[in-house]
Amino acid sequence: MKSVTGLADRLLRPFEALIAYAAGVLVLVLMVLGVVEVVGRSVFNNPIHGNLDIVEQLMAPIAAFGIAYCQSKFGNVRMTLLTRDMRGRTKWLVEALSYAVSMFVVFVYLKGSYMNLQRSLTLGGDTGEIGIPLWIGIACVTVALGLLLARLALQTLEALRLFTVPGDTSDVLQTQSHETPQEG
Amino acid sequence: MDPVTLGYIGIALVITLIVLGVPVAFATAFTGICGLIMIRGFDVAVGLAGIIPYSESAHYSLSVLPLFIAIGFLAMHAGITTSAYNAARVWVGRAPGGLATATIFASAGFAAVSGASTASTAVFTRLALPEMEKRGYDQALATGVVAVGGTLAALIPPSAILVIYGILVEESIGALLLAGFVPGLISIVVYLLVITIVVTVKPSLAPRLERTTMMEKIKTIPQLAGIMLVVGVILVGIYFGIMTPTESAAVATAIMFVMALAKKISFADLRLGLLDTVKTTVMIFMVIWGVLVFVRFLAFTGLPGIITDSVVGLDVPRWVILLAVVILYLLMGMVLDGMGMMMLTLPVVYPAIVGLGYDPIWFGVLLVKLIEVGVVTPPVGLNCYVVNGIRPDIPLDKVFKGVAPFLVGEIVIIAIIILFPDLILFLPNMIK
Repeated sequence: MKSVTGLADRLLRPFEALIAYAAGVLVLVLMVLGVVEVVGRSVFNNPIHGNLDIVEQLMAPIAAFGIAYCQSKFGNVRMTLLTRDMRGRTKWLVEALSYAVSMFVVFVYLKGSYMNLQRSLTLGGDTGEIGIPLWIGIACVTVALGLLLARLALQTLEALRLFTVPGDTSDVLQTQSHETPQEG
Repeated sequence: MDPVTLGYIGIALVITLIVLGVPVAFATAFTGICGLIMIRGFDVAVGLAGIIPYSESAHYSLSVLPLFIAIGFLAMHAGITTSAYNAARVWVGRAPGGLATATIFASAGFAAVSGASTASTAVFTRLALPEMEKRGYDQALATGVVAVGGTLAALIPPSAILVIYGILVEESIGALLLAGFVPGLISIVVYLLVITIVVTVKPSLAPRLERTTMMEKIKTIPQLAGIMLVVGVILVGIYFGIMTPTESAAVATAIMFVMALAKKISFADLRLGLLDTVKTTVMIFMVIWGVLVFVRFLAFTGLPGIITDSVVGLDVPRWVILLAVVILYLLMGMVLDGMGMMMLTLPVVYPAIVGLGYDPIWFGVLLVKLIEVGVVTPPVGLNCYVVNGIRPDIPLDKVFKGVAPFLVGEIVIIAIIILFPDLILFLPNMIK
């Protein structure tokens, strides 16, 4: 089982990092757009046509592409005051519960997002100024949620595996170090 | 079940899940989805919750967040932190507790290009703490200064947490960013006073440094050009309405990007920095999604309205209620993460505060200050954990001991914010 979860982890990581990196590049695109808009508007009296639409649609992949990467790096804000001193089976049972709760949420997000994507593909829908199809942004979010669901499923499985073998090492979850809570 | 009872159960469930270590983003969303399922059925719940990750991300006003986060990272690679610290050390190093004072000034400088207090603390733990130790500074004082200095990033623009507040309560982000500026300055002054008093009472805590010449001081001024430019772009851009907050953030990011390139940032560092920017950005977005699902559920229960009515209808002066809210946040800040605490409580607390007639911009600044006190108070003072994480040889108790005198200062700052709201509001009011 350990080799299976380890393999799945190694397979997922490159995809997670790749689309997170793509989101990072899009942040730089956002920066360039902002500068060009300011210079174009104030110096040449010629703002970017549809800037608002472009920025809004860029925000969908920027906000979503890194979610699986963030989860794989345990980057989500959590309170560890009670759980950080837990050991053995208790620790992994609580961890498995936490991942299962997270998985349910992402499953609902994914299902809803997929329904939203189907609607936008069949009924159409685009942005107000330059008509960028909305399905592109929704598809980005749906793909990112799918990847996050896969990561959470893997983490849940691994937590359950560690529940059965509490002293074992893991490639997927932190078994030794205490996580400190994160802040933005 | 009666929807209001369901609302109370929902609040209890969220708190339980968070205490059990479920991330705030998922604990809130889970409760919200379960509540929506119970009130409106599974299909409606899926439809309402599932649309949020797209619809609440594709917003122009939210685009300021990733840019503010990217500025902080680029600033580190552009050498902003080192030059700010060097300049501050040359200018004020001779004063009582000079290196501690320099750390506060440099933290303020970094705060002007960064929106996250933990990042600032991490930087100065590596940069200023060894310098203070080398000069014989008391370790508790030195770590306390580094931890407290980090909190300035949350008030001095650009502040990520003020932007999140603005998004959640639908207030002007530009006005909020301007409103944070004066309390940020007040905080600097109070911190400097605390250092001076502590060191004057016990001079052995911070030995004096050698004198520097005026020429040495003047030579450091060009090194501060990056900070000046970013402060200028953000404050002047928003204040005069030349740029939207997103545009000013984009220009400021571009300045830092060019400076980082000039410092020959490696491709590997840039790639890592972009990944860090994305990680922090999506972490914030996931909490926003979760809280918004929870808010949708609470709205169906009618609970926020009932709580607001009962709070507003209380037969006590409104300052008593405000004082209770302040104490509640200070207590919660001791055990809860700041951002999670803000997002969790706003749906219920914000309507009540506005219902009492308090200004939403002013309350945002007060709230952020209260949250930042939380990041330096035990047992879950995040900034203190950051210091301890980077320097495990320094016990957490020592860091908290070093922070203690500054907590008295924090109470003074909170009192100033409450008693003199015009100090906070005069800048944002000028752009209205």
